[in-house]
Amino acid sequence: MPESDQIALVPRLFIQNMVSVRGFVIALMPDFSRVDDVVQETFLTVTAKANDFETGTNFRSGAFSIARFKVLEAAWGPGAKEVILNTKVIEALSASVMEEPDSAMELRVLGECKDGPTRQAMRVIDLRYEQSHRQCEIAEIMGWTVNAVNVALARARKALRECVDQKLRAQES
Amino acid sequence: MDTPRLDHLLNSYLDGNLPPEEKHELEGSLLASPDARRQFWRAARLHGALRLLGGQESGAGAAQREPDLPGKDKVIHVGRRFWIGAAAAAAIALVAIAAEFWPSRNTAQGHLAGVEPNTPNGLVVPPESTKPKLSERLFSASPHESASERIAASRNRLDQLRTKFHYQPASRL
Repeated sequence: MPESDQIALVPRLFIQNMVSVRGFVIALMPDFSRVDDVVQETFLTVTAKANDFETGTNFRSGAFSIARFKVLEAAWGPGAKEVILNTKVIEALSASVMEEPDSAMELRVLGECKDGPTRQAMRVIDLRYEQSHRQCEIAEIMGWTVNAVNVALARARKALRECVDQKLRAQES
Repeated sequence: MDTPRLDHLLNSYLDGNLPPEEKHELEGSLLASPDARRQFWRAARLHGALRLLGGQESGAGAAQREPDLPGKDKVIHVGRRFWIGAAAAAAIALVAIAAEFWPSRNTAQGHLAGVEPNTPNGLVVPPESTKPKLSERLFSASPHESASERIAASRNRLDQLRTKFHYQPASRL
């Protein structure tokens, strides 16, 4: 493949795999505030290595490898939080990334499932994921204890996961 | 480890409030058990998808919504901000590629200026370009450079590109 095509192809592949790469980074680094920077650093490195990419090989796996290094880099950098898992665990997890269902379909199904749980549960989910509030802030907004917020979040996520699994299984069959 | 206990640890991890002793417990379980790692990815994938969905909704609906929550001014539109950053990064890559491979006016003039009146058959023979290719300029390395020197050099060159195209990482937007 000509070099110019190769250099143009890699950013396109990255955009196609953006949901997966972003999900991978969020999993290893649940602190939302740094995820964007790590994904962007990953993008810059992936595009910088465009010439090394061999057509026909697994692009996503290569992107995950680079993302893993960027997460580790961020974990050792200033402002890193203790909550990041240790290096051995991150490597073990990276080696066992599950085959993903179609990300776009999963997102669509998840959007449908958000109508399922109770209104209160969805408000908590929105405050956490849409408004980026921490549990103590959600507790203040809802007039609950932090523990009650944690329980509500855990229950809502469980209900959503079961709903998504059920809908994806139904679509497969 | 039983499933409810693992669920509890994973929820605390994803919410960023895992105490150190429980973090060690989770890490031990993830290292020891493939099932725990599978469970981790299921939970993490939902966490990432919810965040992505929340980010999209936050970006799309922010303009229409009235502030109705205390602390609303703290909303961070990470999803929109990320896409702006990604678009900027992609634009940099495309501009750099275009600048490198698009036949510019100056180059064409250079070719014409370089025509020898006595060229056989009257063909225009462009002078051999001595300018290194983009990939060479970005990633060329002398055999004496160590890996860390090459990484540092690549970073500097990327920083130069960022400066040249006024690119700011998302966190600074």
